[in-house]
Amino acid sequence: MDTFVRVIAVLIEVAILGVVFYSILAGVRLTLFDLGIKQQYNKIVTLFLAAVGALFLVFLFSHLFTFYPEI
Amino acid sequence: MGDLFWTNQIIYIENIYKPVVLGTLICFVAIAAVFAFGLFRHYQLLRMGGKENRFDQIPTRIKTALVEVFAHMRIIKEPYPGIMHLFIFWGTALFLIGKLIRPFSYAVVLSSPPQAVFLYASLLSEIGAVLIIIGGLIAIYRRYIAKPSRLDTKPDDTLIYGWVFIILLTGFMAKGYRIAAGGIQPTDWATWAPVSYLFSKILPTFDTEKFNWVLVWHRAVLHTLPAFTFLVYIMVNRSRMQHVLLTPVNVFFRSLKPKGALVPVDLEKAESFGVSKIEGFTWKQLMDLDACTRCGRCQDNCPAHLSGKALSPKKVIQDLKQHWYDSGPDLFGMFRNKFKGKGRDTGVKMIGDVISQEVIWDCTTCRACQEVCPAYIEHINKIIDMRRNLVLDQAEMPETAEMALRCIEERGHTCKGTTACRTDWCGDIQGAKLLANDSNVEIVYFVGCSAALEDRNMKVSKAFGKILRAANVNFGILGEEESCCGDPARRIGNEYLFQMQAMKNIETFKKYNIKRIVVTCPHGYNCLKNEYPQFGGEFEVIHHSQYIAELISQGRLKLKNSLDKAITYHDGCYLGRHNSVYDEPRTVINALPGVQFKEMARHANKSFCCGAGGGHMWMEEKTGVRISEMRTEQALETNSNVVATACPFCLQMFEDAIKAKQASEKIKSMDIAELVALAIADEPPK
Repeated sequence: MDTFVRVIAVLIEVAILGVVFYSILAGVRLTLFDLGIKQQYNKIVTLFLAAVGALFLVFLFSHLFTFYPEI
Repeated sequence: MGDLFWTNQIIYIENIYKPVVLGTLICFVAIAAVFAFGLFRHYQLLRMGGKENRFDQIPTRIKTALVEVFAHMRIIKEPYPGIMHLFIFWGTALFLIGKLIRPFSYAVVLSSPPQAVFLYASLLSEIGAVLIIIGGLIAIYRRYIAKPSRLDTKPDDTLIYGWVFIILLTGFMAKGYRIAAGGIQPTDWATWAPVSYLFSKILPTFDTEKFNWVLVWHRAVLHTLPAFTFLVYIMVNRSRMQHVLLTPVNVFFRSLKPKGALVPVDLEKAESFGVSKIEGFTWKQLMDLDACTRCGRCQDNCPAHLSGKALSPKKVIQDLKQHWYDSGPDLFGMFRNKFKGKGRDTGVKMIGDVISQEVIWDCTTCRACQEVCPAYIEHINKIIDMRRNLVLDQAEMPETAEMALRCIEERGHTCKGTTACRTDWCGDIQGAKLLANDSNVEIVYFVGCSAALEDRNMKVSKAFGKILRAANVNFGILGEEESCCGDPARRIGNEYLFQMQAMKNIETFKKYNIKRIVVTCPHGYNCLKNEYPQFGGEFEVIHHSQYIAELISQGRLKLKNSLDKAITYHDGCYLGRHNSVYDEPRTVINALPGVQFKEMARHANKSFCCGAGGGHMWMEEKTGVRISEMRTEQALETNSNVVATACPFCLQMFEDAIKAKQASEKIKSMDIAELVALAIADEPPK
């Protein structure tokens, strides 16, 4: 039971961290376009930021599963 | 006070929060630089605009801006979004006050200043965060579930909700972990940090203090990181969030001139007329575009939009804003200082490609948009500036409007085809003096084109003449020396013709040394009162509703006949919203014997235009529902026998709409002067 709760807790934490990084990266994306990056680079900018976000998530996922406190 | 609050916390505060806060303070320099950069971007854009002095009456500006920002006087007039914004605004204010006190707590020993300050700071932040969440939930319900048509949702809008929520959530978690890691029970955290305390109950911690340090470090960083980047985001990205700064500044620079007065054009110096390019607007007109929050209140109150026309005031502002940004300097051009305040040529025409002619001509200048705009954006002057360019530079205007202007030029009035002359209406009214014969009068009645020359409205001037005679008022008229006040010309965009008419009338008024003028037309009233002073014509101008109310209060009119009618009153835009005359017409109607007065749902400053303003009296309504018919329906909803007006244009529009709706049996339109004339007549009304 404790393991199950721990997994749920970690997933909630990952979701929260996911929103943190999504917000920051989406903000960066919108700011880049507002600063004058042309719309033709939309796809490449989005892909690059998505890759950065995915890397963060993988790291956080493994990090949390390894070090999260016992429940 | 709160001794237990600090139990086992000093170590976290000293080793974790102090470095984080110190780091934030160091980064403050970077934040200040980013803030300056954000301001510079707007400054460069505003430099594109022309000059305009909005630095007068500074104390009044400060006062109104503060009242508007902190008390939400205008925003709260719509309760649902008003309360939503109030929650978010005051939540943010409390949250920031609490947060800003915090850094100073680490720069000093905890006991000095008193710890109580930090306890209250903690509580303020928590209350603020809860208020923001409540306001945010109200906003989310409205935007994503209720979905009013006036709101458009952009990616930025959705992002902001998520981002702010996560900042608050991670804030609660950071403190919650700190409480949990402290491990001392019971404490008085519940009093000073109630939400974080609840979080602490469910957050797991390590047994080892060292690990808990790392855990709390994590949490602190994961709260600080989105908060810090959010600050940078709202400072740099020209998103809706910038209204936090731009809207109060725009409120500060609001127009303090008479509401109904348009800005004159210096015809001798002007190289071109009106505005055809974005940089033709003044810096304040451009600032309006920046301040728009896309709330859509203007659109929801615009008679043109509600009747299915192409015009949406919100879209006009947003389209102009996008065009302005597109025409502004690019980032690197700005740094290379190659941009000297002139727009880039994007190959896009502002009139035509960005704002269509149809949109420009749809506006009735009723001012409903400006009356409700929480950012105090001035829509009308932009539309009129574009009309001026169309009319004077491009000779483009609706054919019927062109005919009306030609009629003013050739005959000095707008009533094409009339066979009447300006004194026909007063045939059997004794006491109406021609000033040419005797200028020793108490007041001059400026009759106006409609009341002098148009059949239906001649009954109004006749009724008003009878009232003046009954009250023994020594009044005079100009007769053939009177000329069109120029309002239609100015609203259609022919500033040249307007100024000619204004100068001509002012000259006549001065010739007879006229001091006091009464008018039965709110358009003439607005022109004479608010716009003639721009050309040296300073006179006391009174609307007939005000004058009749004055005569009644002085006991000079005996209202003896019972009318036995249910009456509703329509506030004409140029009497109401443009000149704030709301009470006097109602005072007159309520003074009439045997009258049951009924208000329409939209009344006073929320009144709905009749569709004739802005030169529309002389334009065809080709798209959507007729505005006058919509207003007539609203009048019919009150089950009144009479819809009273105090404007010849409104009266004419109601006459036509009542006929079109075949509602002549149910309701008829009358000017308040006609109602008063019935009440004072020797024979009681049938």
